[in-house]
Amino acid sequence: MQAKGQRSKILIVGSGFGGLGMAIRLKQQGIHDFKIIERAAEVGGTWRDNTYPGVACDVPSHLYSFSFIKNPDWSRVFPHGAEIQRYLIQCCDQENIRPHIDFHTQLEKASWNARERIWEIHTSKGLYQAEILITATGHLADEHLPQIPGLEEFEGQVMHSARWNHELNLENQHIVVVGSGASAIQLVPEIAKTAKSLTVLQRSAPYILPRPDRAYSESEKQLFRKDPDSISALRHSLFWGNEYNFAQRRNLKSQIERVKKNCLQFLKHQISDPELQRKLTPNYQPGCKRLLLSNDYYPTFLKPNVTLEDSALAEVTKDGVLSQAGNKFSADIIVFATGFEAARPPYAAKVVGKQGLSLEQQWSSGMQGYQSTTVHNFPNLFILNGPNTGSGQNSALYFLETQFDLILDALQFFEQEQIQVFEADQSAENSYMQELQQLSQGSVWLSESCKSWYLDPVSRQLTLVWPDYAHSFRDKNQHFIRSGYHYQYVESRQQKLV
Amino acid sequence: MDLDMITRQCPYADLQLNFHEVGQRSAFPTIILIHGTGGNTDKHFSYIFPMLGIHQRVLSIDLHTPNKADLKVTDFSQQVEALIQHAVAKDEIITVVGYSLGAVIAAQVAASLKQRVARLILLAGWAKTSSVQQLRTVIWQQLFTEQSAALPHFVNYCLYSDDYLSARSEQQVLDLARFVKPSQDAAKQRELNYRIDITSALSDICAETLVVACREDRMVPVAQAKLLFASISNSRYIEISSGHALYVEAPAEVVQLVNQFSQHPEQYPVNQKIQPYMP
Repeated sequence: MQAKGQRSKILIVGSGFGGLGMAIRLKQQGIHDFKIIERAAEVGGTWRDNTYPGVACDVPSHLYSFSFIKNPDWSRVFPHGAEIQRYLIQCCDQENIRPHIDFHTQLEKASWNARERIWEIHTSKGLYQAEILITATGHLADEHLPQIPGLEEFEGQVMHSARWNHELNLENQHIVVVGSGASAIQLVPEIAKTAKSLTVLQRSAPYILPRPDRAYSESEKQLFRKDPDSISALRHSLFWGNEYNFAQRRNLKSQIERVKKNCLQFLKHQISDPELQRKLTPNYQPGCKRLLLSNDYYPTFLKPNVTLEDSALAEVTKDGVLSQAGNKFSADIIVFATGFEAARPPYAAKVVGKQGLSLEQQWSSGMQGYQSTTVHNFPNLFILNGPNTGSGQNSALYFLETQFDLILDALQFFEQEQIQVFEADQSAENSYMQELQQLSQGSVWLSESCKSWYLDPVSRQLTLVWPDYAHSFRDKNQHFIRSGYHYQYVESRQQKLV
Repeated sequence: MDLDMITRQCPYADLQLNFHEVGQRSAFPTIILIHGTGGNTDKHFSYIFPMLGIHQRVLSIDLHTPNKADLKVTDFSQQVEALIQHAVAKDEIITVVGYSLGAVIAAQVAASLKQRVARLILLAGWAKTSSVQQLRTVIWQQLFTEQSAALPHFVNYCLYSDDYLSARSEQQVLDLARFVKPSQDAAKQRELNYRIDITSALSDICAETLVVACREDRMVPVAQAKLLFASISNSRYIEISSGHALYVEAPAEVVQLVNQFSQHPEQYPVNQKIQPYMP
């Protein structure tokens, strides 16, 4: 006998930008039979979890917000994390999504029941059932903690940037930050203000450009309120400005040289000491990793209490750290700014398809999907922020909104055609992935000097990033491609290929 | 596939014309790019040309300006026809893309090679020079003759949109002058610009056509581009937010429009104004 759980037509896992935006768009289309499970106590995803000092977005606020809920009140060009989190809570409440959300509900396992044609979703709060499962757990949901010898011997405090312990007092402490990526360059200048000593362990130096940040004036905000078209025009210009930068990712030499020159000029402008300049100069091509924006990261290393160790962390001792270069630094607190499990998302182990295999097992040699949203062997599953939906140059929300449109298009089609089950065709999926791998050839991500988290750790294929302009993701994937799927119908229940 | 570009030569009369090639022949049409007044591939298409090469074969010509009085549009369009004859296989489908004066030349090529040109994209182009355009040309010619220091600033004022210029400081705007290097060839092309009239050729064009106008264009106002739209039978019209220098202000958007239209013209309903997608 089948176990009974809470049943809904659609179940969404996660309530960050992906899950929340999907829910809002469903409601806008008159679809109300959906449930969201959220492991935390509030919506917001990345922006709820990342509260480290200095946390901010490196996509301008007017582009890093939903096109269907524009916000004339953004305080500045680049929003701080707390302001984005307030925006998400406001979106949730304004669109009345909260009644659909079960908080403190952790996904344990979701399995496809082929006989009943339903997803069975086991959670920390019991069983849920849904005809359609949408995972919206994000690229940057689960922190990546490297395996470091001696970490358990450490007598001080350890935290990851994505799980900031606000009760820990950093003042007058010896602090070591591990990492020099997007989170590190934001938190390092803040920590340096009060730390007794701050050591940054840098495996590879990032490329950094000035951050053209400023507050919006009252009159600008008034114009945004009175003339919403001015927000659309600004979004348009920000979007295409970002698109331009795809040429660096695509390894267009003139653009690579241009951005490299700009970055190195900026470094020289801020740091005159040749040794420090050398340490802060990247040893790979720009564009391989995300270009970072900061006005105060480099000057932080001019402070007497700050040390840059251009060597990775080798070992932790009971009272400090040892770099791979063999240098020892004492530490009361170690902060890991080491990024996220992006190429191998942890949710993949928890989603089990029709063959009894998990996504993780099916993806043992790298993530792959059809239309970057569906996967063969996993009927009635949509993955937001799925394979190849990361962008090296543009807003993640643009990709999400395209996926919302794809899913809404699919739902409407299923309704019209009385389709109960859909599943991506394996050969369509393979062709799609082959095309993407072909497009990624010649890109900077696959260049020899590039060791990027965008690549799958096993296959070294580009499985996380969209290897073309962001707009081409929309051109290809805004519609559910009818011919790329198998269907089972409500009435005939006969499998056929449309 | 890398984006290595090669430069080759094509015989034309007793000359060898330079053209550049990038990308591989694919399921999509081969694109022929034609630059505008005073330009060449590097100046007008340094971004657009290689980036289009990701998806298809692209050829871009550096036009030769003949040293003779009373230049005609055909003095240039015949160079493009020679390139097609020389470098494009008979069974290769062609999209011709022209910018500014290059758009005028592209329209002439499409009218002459009706059977060869399947798709035509006219960027900031026009059909018949208006009195306002003539006035601007007269001012340019006078400043050029006087070797006036005001000429580069006048060119930039005409070339860029208010949005583009006002996002820069006064000094940055003045510094743009160093990129303007008026030449004798440009002066001769402007003499031609003064008296362009290809209206009678437009009815001969049967290629699927996209007319792209720049909303803040001070050199070719949108009304001019609309005349092209009105006169070409299988055409569509789209306005983008840019001044005349779309290769500086909107290069990625141009790459998208050219790719989309060249690869899938059917997604643009014929004889209609197209609304640009707002992200």
